[in-house]
Amino acid sequence: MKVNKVLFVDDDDDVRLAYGQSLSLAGFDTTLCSFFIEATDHITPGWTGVVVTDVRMPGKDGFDLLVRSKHIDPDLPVIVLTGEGDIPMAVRAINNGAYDFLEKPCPPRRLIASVERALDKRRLVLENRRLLVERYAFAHARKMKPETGLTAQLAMVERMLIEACLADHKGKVTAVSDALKLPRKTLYDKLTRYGIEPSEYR
Amino acid sequence: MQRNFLFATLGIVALALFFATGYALGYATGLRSLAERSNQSLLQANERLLAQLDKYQYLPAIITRNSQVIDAVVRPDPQTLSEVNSDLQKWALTSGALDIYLMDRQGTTVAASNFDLDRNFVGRNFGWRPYFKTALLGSLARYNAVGTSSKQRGFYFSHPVYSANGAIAGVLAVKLELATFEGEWRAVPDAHFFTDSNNVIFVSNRDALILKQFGERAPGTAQDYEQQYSNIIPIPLTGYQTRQLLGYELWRDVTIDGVPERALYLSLHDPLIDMDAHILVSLSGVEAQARVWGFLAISLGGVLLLAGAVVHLRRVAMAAALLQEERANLTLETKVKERTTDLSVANINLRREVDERTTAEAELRRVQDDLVQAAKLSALGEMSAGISHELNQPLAAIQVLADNADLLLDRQDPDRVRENITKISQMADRAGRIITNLRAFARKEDETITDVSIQQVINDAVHLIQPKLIKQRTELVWNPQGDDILVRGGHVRLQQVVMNLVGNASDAMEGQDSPRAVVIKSVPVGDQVHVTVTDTGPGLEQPDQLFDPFYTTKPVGQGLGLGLSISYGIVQSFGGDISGVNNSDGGATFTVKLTPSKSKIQAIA
Repeated sequence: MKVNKVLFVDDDDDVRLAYGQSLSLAGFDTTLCSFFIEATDHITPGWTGVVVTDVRMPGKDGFDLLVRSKHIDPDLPVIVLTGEGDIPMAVRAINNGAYDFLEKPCPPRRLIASVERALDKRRLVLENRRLLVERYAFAHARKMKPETGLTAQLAMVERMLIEACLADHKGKVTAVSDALKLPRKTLYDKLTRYGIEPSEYR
Repeated sequence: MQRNFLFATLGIVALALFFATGYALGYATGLRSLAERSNQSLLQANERLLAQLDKYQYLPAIITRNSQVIDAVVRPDPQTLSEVNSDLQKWALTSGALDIYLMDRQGTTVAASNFDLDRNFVGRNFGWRPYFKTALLGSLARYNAVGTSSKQRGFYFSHPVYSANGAIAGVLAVKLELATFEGEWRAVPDAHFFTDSNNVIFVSNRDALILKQFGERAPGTAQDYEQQYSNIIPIPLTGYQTRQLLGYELWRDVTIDGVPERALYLSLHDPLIDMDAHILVSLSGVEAQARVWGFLAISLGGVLLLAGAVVHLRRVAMAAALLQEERANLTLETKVKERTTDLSVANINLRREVDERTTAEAELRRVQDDLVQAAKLSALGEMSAGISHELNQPLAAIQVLADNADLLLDRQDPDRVRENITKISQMADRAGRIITNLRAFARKEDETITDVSIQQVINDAVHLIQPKLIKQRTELVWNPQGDDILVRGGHVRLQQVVMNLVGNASDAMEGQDSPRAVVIKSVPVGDQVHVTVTDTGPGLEQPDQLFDPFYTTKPVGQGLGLGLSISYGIVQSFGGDISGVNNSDGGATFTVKLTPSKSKIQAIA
């Protein structure tokens, strides 16, 4: 799994463009957003990237986005980049779970370094999660009665992986099919076979 | 009151004095005329008595010439005596004398007119009587005495009887009874009396006075008195008081019967009969006259007093009026002087106040300018965070783009490097504009009023206030429509007003859940341009106090309450007006009314 996405949120066109260029040049899969709403559309529980956001924006601001991101996925790194940083704001950012707090004007290499560290962490978190699920599923399968056979055990693991993915993506079938790289029809067949209701995960 | 009382008392006293004076004058005048009249009466009375007596005065002298009478004493014989008795009786009856009788040299009566009456004198001796003794000395004698037997007062005339050889042979006496004189005399109103040489009242028309000792008793023996008054001792006359007035003797408190209670006393000595005549005349007439005079005097006095009082009162009134006028004049003059002084003082004060006012106005203007400046700086301070953010954005972008350009050069991508450089230039422009705008705002604008573009002013204001609005998440609606309008004012000051209104609106809505929006509009209304700033906040608490200095609804430490006050001053100085009202659908609207320039509408140059 490639963890290389950066969601850059800033209402200032010039700033967004400049940093967006820096991030792209650094090789990140960069997405640029101007507002809170636009940004939240991209964030899912198992999203393979990090968020970089300005604080001051019209409507909901950077802190709202930070809180919202942490709600969606508590382990999602959010880097706060502000033009008017002060200590109370920094403390507030860290308390709300910000991964890093940067002040504009910030040299691109510092932002890039911070983004790389955040992506590393994100990568580890996601891998760890998957390993946990796998181990759980494996352990569960191993505990099954001996007479059930390999097929049944594989089926059970498959079912648990789908359920975990549904939980990650809040019951969104499309997102799950993307994540598991399964054709949607196949996924629906499996959901029907295992008796899983995606709506239960919303 | 006291004064009136005093005048009344004085008037009464004066009237009393007038009465007294009149009375006294009347009395004196009356008394004098009364005395004059009474003297006449006295004389008349005296004359009358004298006349009565005179009738008999020569009777003895005539009788003694009679030869038979002489014979009767010289050679008395019964025949002669008898004839003389008859003659004497005849003459007595004819003359009205009481008794006529003839005595020899020893005083023994030889013949008498009353020879045939009970009181027959013949044979009786009267040698002890003074009238006999005096006559024996050869002269006519008069005498008064009370009869020894008859107890009647009598008046005696006696004359010697001369014999042929001229010797005194005897004495003839004629006795008159006084009571007969008095009878017809009683009706006279005045009291008359005559006193003899012993000061004994012997004749009077008032019985109460008769035989009273009046004045000093004459130096005579008691025997003489007894003989003369027939054992009756005259008692002093009492029952009156005397006093002297104007040389007259007045009697008062008279209690003697038949005598007036108050009377004028006059007396007269008549040497002929050796008696004093006295008269007592009632003073009632005099008193009546005096009273009349007194009342006349009162009337006169009253008239005089009244006239005097009238004259006096008029004089007093005139004097008072004069005095009052004088005083009023004096007061007026004093007042005029005071007023003049006051006026000049007031003038000086006024001039000083004008100077002070001018100074104060200059000071006020200076302070107001300082306040405007302070408010601007305060607004700048408030905005500093937003402004630094606003500046940071292009700066950050410039830095990032420059770094990126460096990287792109390494990657042999000159097109994108150029692109970045162009953007950097634009962003530097943007930062420069912000700085320029800020500097213009912070600069102390001079007081001149020029034509300014209202849209430009609002644009610049919005540009500066935008960061604050973003921070407070306030939506700003500003869509300049139509042609721009030039208004009279100062660019920066007007910008300050707009920023103040927009900033206030945003502050008012901070923390509010419902939509936060500020709408700015610029519309020509009539011959004015109205710039309105409308918000969706809670509205105004006290619209009438909005523009008072230090009125603020913001939390302590977030506003001095000078913003609107200063805005008011600024707009007023442009000849415009500013007002704030609550909207019917919530929120507040501030309207700034401005005067368009004469060059009217122009496009932005």
